[in-house]
Amino acid sequence: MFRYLLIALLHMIKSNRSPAAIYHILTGKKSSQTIQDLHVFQLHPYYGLLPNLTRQTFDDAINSIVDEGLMTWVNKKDYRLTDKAKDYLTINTDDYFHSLTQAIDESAKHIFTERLYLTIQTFTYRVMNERSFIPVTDDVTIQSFVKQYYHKHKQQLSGWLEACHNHLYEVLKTYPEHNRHIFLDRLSTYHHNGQSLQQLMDRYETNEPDIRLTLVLIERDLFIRSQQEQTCLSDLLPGENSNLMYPSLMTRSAKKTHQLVMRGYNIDELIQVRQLKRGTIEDHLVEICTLDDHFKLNDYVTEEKISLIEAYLSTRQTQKLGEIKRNLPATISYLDLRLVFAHYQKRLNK
Amino acid sequence: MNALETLRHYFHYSEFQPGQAAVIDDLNKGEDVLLTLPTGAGKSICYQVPALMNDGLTLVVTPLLSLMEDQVRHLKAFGIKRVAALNSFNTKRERQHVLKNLTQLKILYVSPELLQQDWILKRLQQLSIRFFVVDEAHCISQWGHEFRPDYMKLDSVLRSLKQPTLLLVTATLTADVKRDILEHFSTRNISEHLHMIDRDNISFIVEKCASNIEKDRYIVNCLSLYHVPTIIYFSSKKETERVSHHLKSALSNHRVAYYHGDLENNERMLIQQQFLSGELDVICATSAFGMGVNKKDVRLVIHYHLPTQIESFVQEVGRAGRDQLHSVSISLVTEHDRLITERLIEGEMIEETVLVHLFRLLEQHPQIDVDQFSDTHQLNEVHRRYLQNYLENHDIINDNKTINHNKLSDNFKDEWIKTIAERQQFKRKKLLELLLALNGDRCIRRSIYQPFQPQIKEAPFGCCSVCGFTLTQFDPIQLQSRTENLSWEEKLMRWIRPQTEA
Repeated sequence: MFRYLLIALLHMIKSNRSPAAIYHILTGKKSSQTIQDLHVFQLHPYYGLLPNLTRQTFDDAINSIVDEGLMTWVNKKDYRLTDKAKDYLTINTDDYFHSLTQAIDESAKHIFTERLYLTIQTFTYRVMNERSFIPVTDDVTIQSFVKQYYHKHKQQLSGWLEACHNHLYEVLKTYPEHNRHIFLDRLSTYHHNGQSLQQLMDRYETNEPDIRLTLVLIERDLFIRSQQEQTCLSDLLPGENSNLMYPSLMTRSAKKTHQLVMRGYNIDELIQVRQLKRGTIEDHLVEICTLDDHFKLNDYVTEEKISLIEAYLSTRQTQKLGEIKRNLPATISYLDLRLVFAHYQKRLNK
Repeated sequence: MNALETLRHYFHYSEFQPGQAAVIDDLNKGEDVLLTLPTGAGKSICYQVPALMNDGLTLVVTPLLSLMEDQVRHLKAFGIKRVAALNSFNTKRERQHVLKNLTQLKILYVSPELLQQDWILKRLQQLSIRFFVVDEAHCISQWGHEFRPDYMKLDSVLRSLKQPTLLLVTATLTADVKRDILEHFSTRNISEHLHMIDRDNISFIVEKCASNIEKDRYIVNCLSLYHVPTIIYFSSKKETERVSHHLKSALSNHRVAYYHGDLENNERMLIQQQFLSGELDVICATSAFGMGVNKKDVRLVIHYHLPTQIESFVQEVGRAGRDQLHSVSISLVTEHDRLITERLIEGEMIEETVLVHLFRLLEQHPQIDVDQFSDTHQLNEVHRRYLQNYLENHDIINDNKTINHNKLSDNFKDEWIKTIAERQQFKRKKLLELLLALNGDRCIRRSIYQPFQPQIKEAPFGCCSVCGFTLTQFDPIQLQSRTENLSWEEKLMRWIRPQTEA
């Protein structure tokens, strides 16, 4: 599964970035570059998909893809997928990635999942009249939510569990046998403690990222269904569940700069007021340009330069800024180019 | 409610264990207490019961984060919810949640370094604090096996609070340590409740092995004869994994897992819970495992590698046989154990070259960032705090990191290097003490418990391999673990709707 995902993503970014960019997307790195990549390559659904993925695991997977002749290195950073990889993608289509067709608010999903696991644990213990158990999460905010939720439902525990059972049955039915078992073995319920990742790997003879991915895809599916329709789990969604994904993606420091940009500060004023290096402010501007639809590009780049750069972009397919820069007049700075490029991509994606 | 009613109401025990009631009486009278009890004899009940009986907050200082969280989980599992932990691993959101609800709490666990933070101390000073408990009190002493510099400031913290009653607790109190503790709190009048810590239901075996292969073979043989709840201790994370895999393939009926500090928090907890509830039989673990694991029926504790001193050995062995039934400690020793453990000791200490480098930086710069320095030298959190404290205590730096160059004398540097060397020496001595206790021709039980008490109890089930105990005399109740192959529909039904099964 993870292997398929990686090859598919390598294919999507079309050799315009080093594979490390994929790692940053999957782990949800909050950097300007990663957030731009999301927009450029339309990879929002994958952002923060595997927050605990280690760099070592990722690199190992990439290396084995190379070893199997699916990918070759052009130089240290650039790679190319071989025809064998393209064949691989057409032959193996993975049907279970359907919950990856839309972007979700990862932090809301995290809260939802933690609440779900703790609710299942609490309700199964309480329905058997046992008070004493060690909660699956130490997070006090999750615990206090489930406590209130329990008090609301303590007369209908049986009914809630039946509904939950039926709902999980319907959802799990759509997954392969193997995935259903992994999800169920991971649950901590009455007199059954969840299995650790290592134990699941041993039992199902698979690797860690596949286990994580299996769990995450089902969790995501449950989350999305509960958002889209009223299910027995919809109550577990965090309150102000909004589609405010874009501002929340912005790094905290960039948000401060954003306030000033909206008030019309120019670059030198921003440097002065924020007491930051020019390079940092430039990164912020590109990030703001990517994420804020109301960003006024011509406050920062002259109309003349904008049309020059856009004219070039419309004739070329490349996404490599270095290459574009070399083919444009020297008066055009990297910042000009990055801003126009981000703006151009944004419109292209609309 | 009186003490016994409190015990029954909250903890569902019918009686106190030996020693507990007397401590609780003294604390309720407002008398300060120094307490030693063997591991697993219910030290925490001694302050939890008074905390729940009296008004005000009980503050428990403990250096071990995992222990702190275990205690909080444990109390919550008993339905005691007015407890919380404050430590550097809390997320900001969690910490705010705790601080906001401070007045609601009965028991607050706090790490010593957080007590050094003014704003937290100020919050605590506003509250009525009934009891001030210092867990692992041996950390106060330079001669304790786990010296914590932050513990050196507890006396002044205590004085800044509105004079709560003090309880000092440890399972391992040598004469040196006791003297240091009493000196540190010399203004207080402390009554001593010192109990024998030897465990008479545990028999000790030392087995000499030529190699790891031999150790592996010994364990497989031993566990195939004794299918009982078992902890195997290692000093290397890698080895926990290797041996765990080996045992899994060699012993198909045993449910085996490994446990060490590199596993994610959540993963560690799952393994611990499975072991507690009998879903696992054998744990291959580093010393990170066991603190706060209150499993009554651990029958075997095997040391694949030895710890670095008798104190740790006593604590780890003490996880066996808390139900008072016969249990066995087996230590597998080889010739080169000493080298492995010595390397461990070196890793625990700051090296002299690091100090020399630090001195050079201190001389050349107006300011120093200890965090950054620790990062470049890959020092752990304990080392970082040690450096910070040492520099502050000697007025070399103050809060804003500015260096006080005129204090930076040659004398200061020499002293510091000497201190480190002495500490190394001390650790070596502790190691030697353990190796001698296990490798000598004297009674093992006597050698191990002697540093803590003059006398030892009779061992009704057999003493040790030197005194003639052999494994054949061990006859515990064996486990019958079974593995079921359930379909996914059965799992779903059984786990989500347990009431329909019954």
